[in-house]
Amino acid sequence: MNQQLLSQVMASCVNEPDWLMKKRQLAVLLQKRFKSTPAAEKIMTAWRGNPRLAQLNQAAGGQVNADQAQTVAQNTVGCVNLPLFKAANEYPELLQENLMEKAIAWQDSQLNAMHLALLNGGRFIYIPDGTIVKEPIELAVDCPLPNYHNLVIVGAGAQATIVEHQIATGRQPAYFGTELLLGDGARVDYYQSNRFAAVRNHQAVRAYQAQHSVLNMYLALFDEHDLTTDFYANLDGQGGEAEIKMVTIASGQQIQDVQTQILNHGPHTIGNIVQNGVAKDKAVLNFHAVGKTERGAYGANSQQQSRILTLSDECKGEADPVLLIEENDVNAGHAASIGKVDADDLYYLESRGLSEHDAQALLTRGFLLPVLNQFPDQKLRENLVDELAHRLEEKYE
Amino acid sequence: MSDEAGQQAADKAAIQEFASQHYQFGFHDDIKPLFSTGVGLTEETVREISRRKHEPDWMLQIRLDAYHQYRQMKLPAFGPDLSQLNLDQLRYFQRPTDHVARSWDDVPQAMKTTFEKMGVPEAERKYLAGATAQYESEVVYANLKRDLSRQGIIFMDTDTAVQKHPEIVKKYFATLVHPADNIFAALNTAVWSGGTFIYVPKGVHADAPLQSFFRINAENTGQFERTLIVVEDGASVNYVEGCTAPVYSEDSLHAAVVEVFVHPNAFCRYTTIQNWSSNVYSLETKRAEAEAGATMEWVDGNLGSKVTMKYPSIYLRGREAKGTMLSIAFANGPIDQDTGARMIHQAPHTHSTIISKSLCRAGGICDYRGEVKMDENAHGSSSHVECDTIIMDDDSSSDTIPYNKVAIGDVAMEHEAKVSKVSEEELYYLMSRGLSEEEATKMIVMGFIEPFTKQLPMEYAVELNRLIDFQMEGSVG
Amino acid sequence: MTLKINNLHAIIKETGEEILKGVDLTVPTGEIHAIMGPNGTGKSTLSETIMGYPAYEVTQGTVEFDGQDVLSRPVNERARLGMFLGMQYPAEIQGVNNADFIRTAINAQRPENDPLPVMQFIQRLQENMALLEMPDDITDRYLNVGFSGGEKKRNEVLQMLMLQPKLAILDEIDSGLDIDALRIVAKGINHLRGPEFSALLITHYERLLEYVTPDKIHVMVDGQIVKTAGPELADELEADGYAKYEQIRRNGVSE
Repeated sequence: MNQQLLSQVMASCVNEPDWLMKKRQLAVLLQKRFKSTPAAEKIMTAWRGNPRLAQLNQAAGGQVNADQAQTVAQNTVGCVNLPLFKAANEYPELLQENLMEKAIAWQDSQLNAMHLALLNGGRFIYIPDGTIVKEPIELAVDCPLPNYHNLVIVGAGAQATIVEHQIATGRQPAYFGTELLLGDGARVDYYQSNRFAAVRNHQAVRAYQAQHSVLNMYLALFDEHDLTTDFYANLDGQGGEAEIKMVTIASGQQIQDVQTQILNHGPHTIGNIVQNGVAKDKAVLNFHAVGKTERGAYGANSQQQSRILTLSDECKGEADPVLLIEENDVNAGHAASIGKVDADDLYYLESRGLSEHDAQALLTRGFLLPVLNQFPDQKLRENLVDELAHRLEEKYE
Repeated sequence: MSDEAGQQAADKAAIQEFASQHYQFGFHDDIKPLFSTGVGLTEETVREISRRKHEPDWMLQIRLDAYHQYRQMKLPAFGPDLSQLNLDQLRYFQRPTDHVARSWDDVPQAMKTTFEKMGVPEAERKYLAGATAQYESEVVYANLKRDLSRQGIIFMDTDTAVQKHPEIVKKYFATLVHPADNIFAALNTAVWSGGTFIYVPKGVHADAPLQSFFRINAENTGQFERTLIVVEDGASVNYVEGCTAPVYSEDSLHAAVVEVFVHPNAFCRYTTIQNWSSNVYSLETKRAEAEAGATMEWVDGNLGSKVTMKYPSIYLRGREAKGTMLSIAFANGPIDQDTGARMIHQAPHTHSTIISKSLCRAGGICDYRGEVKMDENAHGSSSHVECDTIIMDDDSSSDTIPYNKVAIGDVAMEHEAKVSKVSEEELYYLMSRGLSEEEATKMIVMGFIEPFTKQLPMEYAVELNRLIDFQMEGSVG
Repeated sequence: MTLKINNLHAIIKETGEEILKGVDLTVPTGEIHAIMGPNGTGKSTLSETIMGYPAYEVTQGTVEFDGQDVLSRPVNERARLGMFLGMQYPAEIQGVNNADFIRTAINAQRPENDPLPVMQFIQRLQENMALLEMPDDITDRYLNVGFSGGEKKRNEVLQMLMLQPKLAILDEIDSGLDIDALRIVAKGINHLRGPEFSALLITHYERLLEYVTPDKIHVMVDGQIVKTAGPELADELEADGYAKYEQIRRNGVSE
């Protein structure tokens, strides 16, 4: 099967530089060596059954972004915003060194290797040292093919806001991957709210941070299909900061398995994970959060909060907040909770005239809004709040 | 001024003494075990053990099945490094005397000296409601006070219980901890010897805590006591055990199995303080089940050993059952304390609480591994977990790995943890009132574990206090 | 028992920012002095530096108490010299009983084989608690855990009365207190007043000084003392604020 897949992959590598072709070959050949999970297996089986190897139509991908790319290029000199395969040809050194190496390593798991092997397209964004991009850079695409990958490199002292709102339209399980590489003192605000069409999908956003860089991730996982995630920040250099704030809703018979990790490698690094999720109907919501502080990361701060609000009796949840600490000069803490809306709160609101239904809705919003309100972009916030209301109202038959 | 110099010199000497890791109970008697099955474990060894104990056939069968199970199993894939533990090098059975003593006068003198050195005070024996002391793998001293017998409380070693109360033992033995559960449970079920058997009849309340002392002796002896506690409806009992062991050149294994059955509306608290010497592997399986309206409490202090793996668990099987786990782990030196708790909610309106406090220094490792599970029947249940760790220096480390899983929505589960070093703010505050850095550190440490110590019987709290005090000496600077 | 501070400069270790920029101050035995000044001028830093708080580093200058060098000593030895710092934000120590702690602190400052007998301790404790109008249960609670701001301040004063220091430095002991609590705290301070006792009161408002009349008042602006005068200075500051002294500091003139 490998041979067949291999030849299919090779056939699809038109107009690709040598190094990329070789990498994709290697990925096919070596993938069985890397670890895998049952959920990933399901996704890969679907891919193997019918590998969709076409490269995303440059024009189609480009059209949505063409204006944006122009704007960015006009306002800030030196910024690059190109389709991924085009960038592979124009900036081979940059991509060879950084594509699926430092953040979403292709050797990390079988799924990652397959993602690389079957890559359909993506975006490459480069912000040169010291450049401050005021306008948010949008990563928006209607994506009919499963494997889409963004590589964002932010140079030393540069600043940018990235808004990712991608929609997978194909029936095969999609894997959306975004790598954020931050240089010394870089600042990135990253928002994401993707949508999928297939029954199950995978989402990875991983960051590698040099010293004193600051990354704020705001994630709204509002899609209705099964999802596995891999959110990760590697605070490699000293003084780096990473904040991951997430709200999610799981409804119907959805299974959402959320993996989030921050690694404090350098001294005086600060990592904070805040995840608030609502589970209703017969959904399953799992939060696995890991805060790892390595030896030598003195003065580090690692905090986590994972909270699940259950709105029905049949939903299921898991919250595993893990702390791996090898350094004693740290401040680490975590909190996790799973439970219903507080009965006293319900009673209080009802005693002021609200129906049980409205009181419940108000308290549920009150559970998610504090995190949602920390998403700085106002327009995005408002859209998300509307969507939130809609998802909560939905009846499950 | 010369007093001060003298004091400083004395302090220095004391610190040097401690630094050479001198274990205060480092001695062992020259008692030659009367009988030993030699090194290593075979089916013949298992049969011999059963034969010597004159066991009925059903118990021999349980042992043999467990032995075959053991042969098929592997060491656990998680947790501390057990590679230096060689199960085939251990001696599996000792019987120091030929009979179980009924009164203190009958106990061999060498053993009495051991108890004296351990500091079991004379007066205590009158106060306590009768103590069974385990020496080697055998209970040497058993004395039941008339009160207990009159109330119908059975308190004896497990070997004797097999002979005298086979119906009870047969009903419960290995029903909660199956040999297939883990390799050490299988091993224990095959070669178990000694341990405590407690049976409390319906509605009976044991007034004073029941206590037990035991030690490991002779090189490479495995300690496989098997404890069975049954508390009938509406009854209550408090069981306390503290143990210590001398230093050896080769490693010692302590793989006990404890099964506790708490019937409806009954209460059981099981308190352990373990201060094994630095070459002992303490790998225990402790499990309890609590039925409707029952309460089970584990109070666990882990102070010593080379490696400890212990995750006392409580199965909350009946409506409104309650489970509590209160533990401290102190890894002082190159020790690996891998401890935790498991609370399994299988009925509605059940509640569990886990409070775990760990301290590590001088290269110690303190890992918390916990699990709280609520299945489809656990409607309206709640759980609260608090685990805090203080890593005192940069040679030590700690991991907190909890699993919190619910299969339904109408439950409440809370989990909190904090990891840090001794707070500089707190040290400064206490020192500004005149305490030295060492005194201030001790005070913060004692304050940290206070929720645990206040649940101990006083003599244990005092012993614990003294122990930590001693272990903290010379710990600063 | 005189406290002598000479040209004291101190920085925040982590940022290197200089907060104390050459403080000169002398508090003779038996006197009570007050330090006032706008927020953020280094008043608290001064008290913390005298006591040895680890976040600050002395870059220049000396501090002597009773002829002994203070800065070379660790925190607890400064306490044993007879110095007591009542803090603005006292730490909360879990699991440590309030009364037990006070007794341990008292005994830490006595010779090792001569602890304060329990009965004497209890008697002294009860007298001081009555003086400070504190409820009985305060001794059973854990050290400052869950105490309101006012309770924490009173607990600091209780410790001061129990430890009987020669020099008490009170850092904004009056902030957050209502009139009654203020009156009680002042009672405690005045109770210790005597030829063998000195005090340095750091205060933002002059309210406290209505109850505890200081011998001298110093005004501190931007890390230096710019004015020293008698108790009448309090009224002037109440009426006119600190503007005049901020101006003086900016122009580099100090008295």
